[in-house]
Amino acid sequence: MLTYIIRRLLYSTVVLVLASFLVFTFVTVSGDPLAGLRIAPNVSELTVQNVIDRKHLDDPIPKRYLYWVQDAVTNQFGSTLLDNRPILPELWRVMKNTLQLVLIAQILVIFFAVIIGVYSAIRQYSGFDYTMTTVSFLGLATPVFWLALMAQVAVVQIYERTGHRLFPIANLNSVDPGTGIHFWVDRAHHLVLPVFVLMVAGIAGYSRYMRAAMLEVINSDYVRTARAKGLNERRVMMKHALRNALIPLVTLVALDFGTLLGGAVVTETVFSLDGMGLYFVNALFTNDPYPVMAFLMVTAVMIIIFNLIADIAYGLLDPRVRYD
Amino acid sequence: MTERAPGDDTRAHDREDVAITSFSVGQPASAHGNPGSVAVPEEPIAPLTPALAMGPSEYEAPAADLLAQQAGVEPKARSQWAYARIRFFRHKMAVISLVVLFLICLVAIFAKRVAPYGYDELDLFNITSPPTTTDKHLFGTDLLGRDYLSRVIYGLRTSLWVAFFVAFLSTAIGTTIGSLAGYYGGATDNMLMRFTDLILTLPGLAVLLTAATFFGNGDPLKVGVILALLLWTGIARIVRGVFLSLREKEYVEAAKASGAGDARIILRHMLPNALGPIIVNTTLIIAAAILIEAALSFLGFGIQPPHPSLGTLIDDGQGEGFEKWWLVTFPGLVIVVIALSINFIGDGLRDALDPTQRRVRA
Repeated sequence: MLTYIIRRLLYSTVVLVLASFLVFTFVTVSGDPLAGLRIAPNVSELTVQNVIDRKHLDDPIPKRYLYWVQDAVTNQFGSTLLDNRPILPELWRVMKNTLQLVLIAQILVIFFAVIIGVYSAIRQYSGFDYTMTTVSFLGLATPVFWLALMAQVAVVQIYERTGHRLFPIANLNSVDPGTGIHFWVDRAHHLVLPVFVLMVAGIAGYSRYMRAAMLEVINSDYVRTARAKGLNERRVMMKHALRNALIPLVTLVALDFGTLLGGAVVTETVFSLDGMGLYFVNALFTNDPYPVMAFLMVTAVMIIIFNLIADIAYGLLDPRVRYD
Repeated sequence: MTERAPGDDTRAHDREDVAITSFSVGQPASAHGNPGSVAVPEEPIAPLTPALAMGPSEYEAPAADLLAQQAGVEPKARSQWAYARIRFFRHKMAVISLVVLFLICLVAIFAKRVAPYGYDELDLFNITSPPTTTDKHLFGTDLLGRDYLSRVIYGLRTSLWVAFFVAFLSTAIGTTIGSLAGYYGGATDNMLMRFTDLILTLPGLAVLLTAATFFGNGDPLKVGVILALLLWTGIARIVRGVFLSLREKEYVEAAKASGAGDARIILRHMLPNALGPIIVNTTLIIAAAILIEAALSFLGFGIQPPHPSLGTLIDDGQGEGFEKWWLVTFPGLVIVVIALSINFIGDGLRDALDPTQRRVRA
């Protein structure tokens, strides 16, 4: 087990270094981040030259990559290109916001998806099963950004027709959220729509997965054995079937969580939530390679870590899996 | 449909007669008497979720043949594709979706004739008019008085083109890499699959956005290429898996023994047998590409304004304010309809072509 983990980590490190070099190369080759600065009317030649010197923009790419690695390791990913703001502290700040959003959404998603999936499987081909199948197909076919916009449209339309302002449609907080409990009530109120939007797609996908996993287990020999022993149906389902059906879900959740920490890019953009996704999109719009690189590295590390956690969890939960 | 009372147990043999009544169309009533040998329609699996390990699949004769057998008549010999067609047409939603998608494609192809106005034609007397059912502007007009129905139709054209292009290109890449890895195995396999893993390790949407910012310039073709370069991994893995098992088949050995070259074995003997899973996954890529392209364009990293795509339209529409709800609603609805029908078609195709992914009868 330990050797397996070490080998995986070593392999991941190699992948990460390779990937970071590739990303760095194509980010730096393809755009001139100073283009905007050069044509700005009140910026002198000297200022531009200063930025170039400070960030070694004149050096060949491998050398610049090494400078970047040095910055990343010793200096918290350095600072942004133009206004020289530190990157990593900013990333941690927005990641906390993303974490709130994603964690709440994910917990609710798992809760509902497991109930729906399990019930659909136990009552396969019932009216409930059909309805949920159709609804989840619909959920999977709906673009997340469009759903988010429609939620906003609905709130605005309700406001225009009835004068009720149901939920805020943007930002993490009001301008003056207050402190303590007031702050968190305000935050929760702002998170209602984004969480709802994230839940729709999540539940659609996970409930199908849960249903498939549960069906697989229900038809297995050990469930038949449990029934043959004369256990009541409830006990068979809860103790024997559900627990085993949850194993693949645990893996999937762990895998997805790494990706989710990279921010719900679309949802955060539509609702202007100050999270990882919005940070990344803004960095892309300013053509600044350094925050882009930092974001990609942090999310890649998260994905690698959670991939590993998923595999380890699978091994721990399912003794049939062996790592050698 | 047999309804079980709550608390009733769900032993396997109890469920069989329930199972028959799923998406099946025109299943003869007598089939219910033979739960053991009747084709049981598969229940839809969520598209794009990794399939769980499946048990041994059961090929079952379609119901018509079963009836023939019962009547003591030799069932008519049918090709695999004929069976596939029968299985597909039994999936009601898939057939409906196929018709819907066909109509949508017709609209896209003949956009110039179908659209009531040009996509940039101004009607300055009707600026931002809401949808009217009477005449003129069925989907309303935008800020410049352009007929929104026409714009949606032209956007549909771009989006569909990109989606089909992405599906074609990524299938080509994925099939090539997957079949080489699966056929040659060993070091080739290792190298190609590590490369595939590398792509999979990257945070998908983020890389996509980065690539689109730095390479794309809003040209549909470039957006399509970028999408395809990231979407081929699934197909590559599936094709590799199929090839690994096909490699050990006797007919491949026979072809080798009779002196066929690698290219001939791959193209003539193995690829046709891997077509089922490839087609199914290509279909699902079309749906994914539609959704991803829309999201990219919406975020401003995809197709840019002179080409109207469904995502661009939504992006423009939200800029006009949420009182003008029709600008956001209609292009999105079109996306939902397309993605939904493609997913249903994919589901039907999986039933028809890829019986290995069928669930064990529940």
